[in-house]
Amino acid sequence: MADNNDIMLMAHLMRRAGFGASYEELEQRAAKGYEATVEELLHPEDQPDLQMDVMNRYMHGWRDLNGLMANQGYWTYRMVNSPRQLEEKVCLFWHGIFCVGDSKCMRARQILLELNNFRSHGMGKFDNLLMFLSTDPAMLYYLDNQLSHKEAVNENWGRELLELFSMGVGMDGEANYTEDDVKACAQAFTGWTIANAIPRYPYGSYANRFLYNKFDHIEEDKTFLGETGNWNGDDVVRIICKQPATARFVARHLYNFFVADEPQVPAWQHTPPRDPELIKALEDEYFNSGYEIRSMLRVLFNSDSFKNARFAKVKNPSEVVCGTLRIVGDFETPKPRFYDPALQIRYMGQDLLNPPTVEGWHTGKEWIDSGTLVERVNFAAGEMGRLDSPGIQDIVSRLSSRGNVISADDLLDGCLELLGGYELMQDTRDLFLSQAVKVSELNTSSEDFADQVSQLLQLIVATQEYQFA
Amino acid sequence: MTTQVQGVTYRYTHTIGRGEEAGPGFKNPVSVARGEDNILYVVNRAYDYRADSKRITVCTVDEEYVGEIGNGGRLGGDLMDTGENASDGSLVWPTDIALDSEENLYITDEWLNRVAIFSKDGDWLGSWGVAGNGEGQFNQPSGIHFDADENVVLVDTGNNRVQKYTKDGQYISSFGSFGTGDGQLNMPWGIDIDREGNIYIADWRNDRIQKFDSDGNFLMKVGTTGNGEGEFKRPTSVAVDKDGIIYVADWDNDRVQVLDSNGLFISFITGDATLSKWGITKLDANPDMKLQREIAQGLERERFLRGPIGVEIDDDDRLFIVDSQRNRIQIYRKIPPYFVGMYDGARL
Repeated sequence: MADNNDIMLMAHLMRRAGFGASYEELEQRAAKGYEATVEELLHPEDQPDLQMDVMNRYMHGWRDLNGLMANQGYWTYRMVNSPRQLEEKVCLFWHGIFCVGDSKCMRARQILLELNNFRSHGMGKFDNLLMFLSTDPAMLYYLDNQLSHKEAVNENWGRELLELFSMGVGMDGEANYTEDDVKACAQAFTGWTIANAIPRYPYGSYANRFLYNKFDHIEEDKTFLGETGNWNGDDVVRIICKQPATARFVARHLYNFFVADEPQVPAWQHTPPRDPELIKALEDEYFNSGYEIRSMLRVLFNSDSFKNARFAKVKNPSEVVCGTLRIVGDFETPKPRFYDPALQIRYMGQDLLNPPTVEGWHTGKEWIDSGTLVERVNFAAGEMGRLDSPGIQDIVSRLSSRGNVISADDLLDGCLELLGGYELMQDTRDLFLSQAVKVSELNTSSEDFADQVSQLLQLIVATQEYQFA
Repeated sequence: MTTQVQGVTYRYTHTIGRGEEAGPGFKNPVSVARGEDNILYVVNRAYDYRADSKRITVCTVDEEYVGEIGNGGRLGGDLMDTGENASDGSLVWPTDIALDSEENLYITDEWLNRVAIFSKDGDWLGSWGVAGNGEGQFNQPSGIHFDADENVVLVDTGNNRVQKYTKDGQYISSFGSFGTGDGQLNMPWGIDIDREGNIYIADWRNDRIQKFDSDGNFLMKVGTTGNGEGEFKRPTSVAVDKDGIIYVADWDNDRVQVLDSNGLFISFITGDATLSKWGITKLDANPDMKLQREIAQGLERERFLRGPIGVEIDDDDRLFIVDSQRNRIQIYRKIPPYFVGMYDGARL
């Protein structure tokens, strides 16, 4: 039988490998065991996917998902409701690295198809993932590779592939590649282009497709990362994936997203990893597994570093919104304002399918400013005030079942526990008990008990502690 | 020597519509009704975050724009009126349309749980409906049709039943319950009534069409889950022509199926769309778009149906397919397999 420590550890795992969980789900998963849950999360293909027919019936824009807003609503729904929680989390992870933005592409459905690749292959081999990316019409368009010709090479894709998508500019104080490597990379990808698209008017968008134009490819020897040959794009991917820098880059990104906030990516050349031991273990697994992300994640989630890193990360906006909604448990049935939570994610600074630049979103404390913090607090507190929601009712019911009378201390601890094991600073605790609860004991059967619980939950989610995962 | 009649065929005639948030065009159209003088009333469900696009587009079969009826909000999504006391003329989740003998428009609204009524000139005539699961109440009304007595027969999706009302909303009767057995329903949607008064229901989540007599007695079921002949994937709409031929919008299979009066498979229609008049106007006004289209690869995909959601056939044997995800209606003419002789005194 799982004890409270097991449940709280599970809460930590689900905040990171998913978007949080209700207390009931935490109990069930803890009873199954930590390692078994990790394996289940690592194999989403063994879980049923969401049935979308009813949603598509009522959310008519979701059937083809052509527009940005429809896609953001759809993805929010998936993050909250998918039983394949890690699949959605990994999709968000890669979306934040392999950035493609609707502001340039103006074709959200094409970005959706890229995200679907992240869902299907995001935990597979990194070389396969880079090949998907290299032939992805949204990415090639976003980074101008359709404008790269053998007579006039555009280096945008080639440069970002190295700098932002695979190796990073440097590590341990050294540069990972040279300007000549960028040029060779870009030359190897000449001819990797896309078909001419059907315009979105008058009848809507159609999926575009990758084309390889051998007549526009530079057929000559190129020296790339010390290897010389008549390289094409797939050769470049192969050479990139065997670099130690690539192992480091992937490991640090995984650590930054799943374990604890690291400095921003541009600082990685001169800033050593926060946890060199775990990074080394991840690098080793990268090579031992043949570049498999799933294997790296297994090492990561089962490490002591991960288990001890509770609340070491600032939640990204998707985690704030979807994590709150998963606790409240009332985002399953379609209704007209179903897109509101997706807008909240946008207002908090994470415009899904539309990152600010190819560099993606800066993470950690950079998620927070005076405006986005207010959005976070208002949203979460608003949701905790919904006494008619099944999640809040469950929390009230569980607290009521602890006896006819509950002390203020126990009530506060109970709320913190049922939200997933949050811990407040002593000053905050004292303030809540003296100013909010005011009495030393509460009658759990009183008419206003549910209101008191709800108000306490609203205060908790308004704290800085709730901003951490 | 005799020649076996091989069955009817369907000739594509033209496409009307284009994607448009207002004016000449449609936005996620869900159903169509034909009025007098070749007038069409097209219900646009649109997206909830562009509530101003929710409307009834009035146009002709030949794609002459007449006007708009109803609205989904005053200034867009943030002001969308989703309350129980929605303002006059507002549409939140409009789903199906039927015309009475005076060509007034009766429109089901799945969110507001009401039947909204407009005159053909767009005047608001009122609404009726009470949310619930009791007698005379409904939960997410979808398909709607008038019977020969000009009573309203509507599909009560959330309660898995079909209900009959007078045209001013007085409850008459109902039939159906949740389940997979004969006469039972699972989130039913579309409806049509044939000349004998029999009622056809698109039994959406059971992937079949059911036929009932006018009293709601079960007569026939057609279809199972799948993508083969006589199989459906979430059929949304059903229509029956004057010869008893059945048309089904096979929504998630992106096709319309044509069945004979016994439910036997005749043919698939997967789409033949060409540029509509409004589409040509749009391209003429946007030369860059026109050029891009001329050099686009894979343009042949444009002819196919995508999420066909409504079917309607008029007494002139014109079949209207609401091609929802493509914001257009594809129109076909039924070609009878036998001599009709309408031309010049029925000469050879």
